[in-house]
Amino acid sequence: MKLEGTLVLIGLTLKRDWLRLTIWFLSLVLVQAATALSFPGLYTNETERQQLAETMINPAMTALVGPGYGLDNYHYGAMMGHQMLAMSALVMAVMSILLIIRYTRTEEETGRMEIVRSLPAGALAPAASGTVVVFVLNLLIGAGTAVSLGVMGLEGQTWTGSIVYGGALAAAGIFFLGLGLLTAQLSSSARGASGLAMGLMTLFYTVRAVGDVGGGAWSWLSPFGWIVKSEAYVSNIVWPLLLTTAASVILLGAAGWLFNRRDIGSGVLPPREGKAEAGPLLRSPFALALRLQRTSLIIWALVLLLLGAMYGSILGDTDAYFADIEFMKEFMDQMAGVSMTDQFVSLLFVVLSIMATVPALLSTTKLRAEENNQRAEAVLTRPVSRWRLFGSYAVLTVSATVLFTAASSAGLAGAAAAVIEDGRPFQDYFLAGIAYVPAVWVMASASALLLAVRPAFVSWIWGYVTASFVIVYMGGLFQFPAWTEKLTPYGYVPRMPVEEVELLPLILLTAVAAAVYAAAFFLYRNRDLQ
Amino acid sequence: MNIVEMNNVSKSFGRVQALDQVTLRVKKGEIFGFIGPNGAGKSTAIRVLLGIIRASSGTASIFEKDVWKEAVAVHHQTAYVPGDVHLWPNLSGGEVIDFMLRLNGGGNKQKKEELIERFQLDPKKKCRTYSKGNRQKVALVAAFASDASLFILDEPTSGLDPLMERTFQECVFEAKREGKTILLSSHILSEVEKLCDRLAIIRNGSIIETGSLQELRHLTRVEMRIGLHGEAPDFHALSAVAHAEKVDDLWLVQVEADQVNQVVDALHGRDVYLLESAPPTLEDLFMRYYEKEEQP
Repeated sequence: MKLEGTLVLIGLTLKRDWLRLTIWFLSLVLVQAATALSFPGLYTNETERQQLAETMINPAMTALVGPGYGLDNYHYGAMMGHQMLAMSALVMAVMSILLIIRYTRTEEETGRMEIVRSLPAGALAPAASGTVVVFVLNLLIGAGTAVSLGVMGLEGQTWTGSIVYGGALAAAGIFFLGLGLLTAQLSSSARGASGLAMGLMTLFYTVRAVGDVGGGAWSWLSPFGWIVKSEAYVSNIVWPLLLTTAASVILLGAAGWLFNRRDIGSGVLPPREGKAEAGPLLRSPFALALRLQRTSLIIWALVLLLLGAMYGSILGDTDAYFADIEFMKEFMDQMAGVSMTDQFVSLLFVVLSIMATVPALLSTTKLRAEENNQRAEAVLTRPVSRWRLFGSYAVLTVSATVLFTAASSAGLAGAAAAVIEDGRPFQDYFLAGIAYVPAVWVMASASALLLAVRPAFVSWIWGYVTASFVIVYMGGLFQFPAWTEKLTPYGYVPRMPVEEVELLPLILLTAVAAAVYAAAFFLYRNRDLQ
Repeated sequence: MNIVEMNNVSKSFGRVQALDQVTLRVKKGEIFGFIGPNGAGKSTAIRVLLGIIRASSGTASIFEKDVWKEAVAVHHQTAYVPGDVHLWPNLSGGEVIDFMLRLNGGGNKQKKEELIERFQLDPKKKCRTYSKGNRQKVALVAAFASDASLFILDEPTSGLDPLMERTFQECVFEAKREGKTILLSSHILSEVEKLCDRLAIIRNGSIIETGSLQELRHLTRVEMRIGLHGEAPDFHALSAVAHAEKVDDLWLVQVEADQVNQVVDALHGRDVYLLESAPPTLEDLFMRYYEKEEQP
């Protein structure tokens, strides 16, 4: 029988991965519950909720989370269905894709599936066991979410709505379980399969965004569109979820058919070939570093641009919005003679610059990975000095910092200039953001110094980044003393457009970064490689 | 002329003494074998020579240049193949080879293609998908296609099949014919025996013996198989004989390599119908040093 041994394999999967599965389950269910629980505290009465609904009606939010239903009676249920459903479905999709490829194509790639197949197990058992595990996990998360939201019973959170909401999450997860299983048959490597599935997932989400913003039929081409059209908590329409389930059955069937027909280890699509010879530019350590990080540089820049634009797009109604919300007032120290909007913009720029720090540091930590994997050695045993290698990564990081900060600043500045009535010109906002470049350089130089002392120390920088974030972002809320701001480089940057342009602190930050880099260069030159 | 010179090089990692007063000379144009089991210090010594780690004491030079301070100048003429080759997973083998050759200053395109052919490497595959042996082939092609005059090879054949191992040996001999110098670390003793002019044995971070195989053989025993009619001489009485026993009709006698004449003299005038002697293998030699360690 083709399914013989499936139960044993399910047991094996649960035994080796129970923790991973439990974490997925708990984090997804708890995030839903915690978000719902936080609503009454944030928006205490109907007036506040309607104000929120007003700010939510803009293209950026529609693109991000869907068009929203029940905006005219924006109770907590409608909020949940509007703000959380599409994004949570996206997380469910990521989870299902990662897990099903892990249980099928990865097992095949590492040769473990071959061992299983050589035992008296049915030909379909390895794929079936993985599918069952991920399928049941999706059902459990859907049920867990439905029950926790239903029990909570906030205004507008009916049991019917909660069940539709939970069911929508499960349906989304199961659709992408099918898609992941299908791509695992198409590509012969786990990486290729997850790349393909994640790419399709992104495409589906984008198609929904385009459809929702344009109000056209595009949304119907995307499973995310179907999920959102269930209008959980508002109209509770079930048939789009049935449509999703039917599509999942087709995907799973197609995947099973391919799995049964193909040889173990092979894929339906031929593996992509690389080039037999290197391109003319690949001739220096810098070119190699750029080549290795090219894709992530572009993606991060785009993500930061979008993130900036998204933040910027809600600025139009800020003054009216904040004036009524106690929580937001505490968030920022009110300053006399300055508009709330400007103050909020300056806070957003700090936050965005810290976000831009993350990818800037990733390219430093890449050098640590190169060393740990003995690939730095492969370069340094050629006529390449330590300075040249370290310098290549330093130059890349320093330039990437400018790119990332410029991207997030351009996004926010562009949106701010467009939506704020009687606002400032684009360059005023852009300057406010780009002023953070020297502060990010200081963080980058610190990570380089840690690497130069000992590679294992590099991860400490994330602690510093997190601490900086807490200080500058939540310092006002927790009423930290003013001097704490000076513990992070971001605290030295003049907060434009509220504060005046000041060059001296920026020059000093740049000098600090240069000095720290110099020390790092010296130490890196003189230590043993790992 | 010595291409590689290590003088009393020691290296410690914390409390662990990885190298203890290592002295080593590799002459121009020779194939020098560097043997010892895993963990004896072969790779540490090579990493010192490549300027990846710094010696705690002692001096090391290649082409009369300091291996740490003038690493870049040294590497202009050096090619290195590690035992465990790590490559960039998203580049193809061909891209890596070209990149490495360009860092080394160009290399020889025609030779590169010939080597790819000889090692039967598919240069279009991504390094992620290469097996250990294929990654090693990438490093070997990049090394032998370069214009280096010194090759430092650290267990370069551990992932190759016997056919490819032969191709590797041909490449080493060709390099030698071109007057190049090769430092080959290995624990495959038959390979060292076949290739190397001179060798050094390392144990626990110290060099315990250096010399040509011929010279070292004097330090070990020859195994003789003797068949004779009539009474056998008293082999045990000979000072050169370490061990003697009769198996079926033949005597198996182990004799100190430089005193075989004692046995020959003892056999004089007897009715010998079979006399075979097997030269000591490097393995015998090697085992003997390591047995010594176990019997303090």
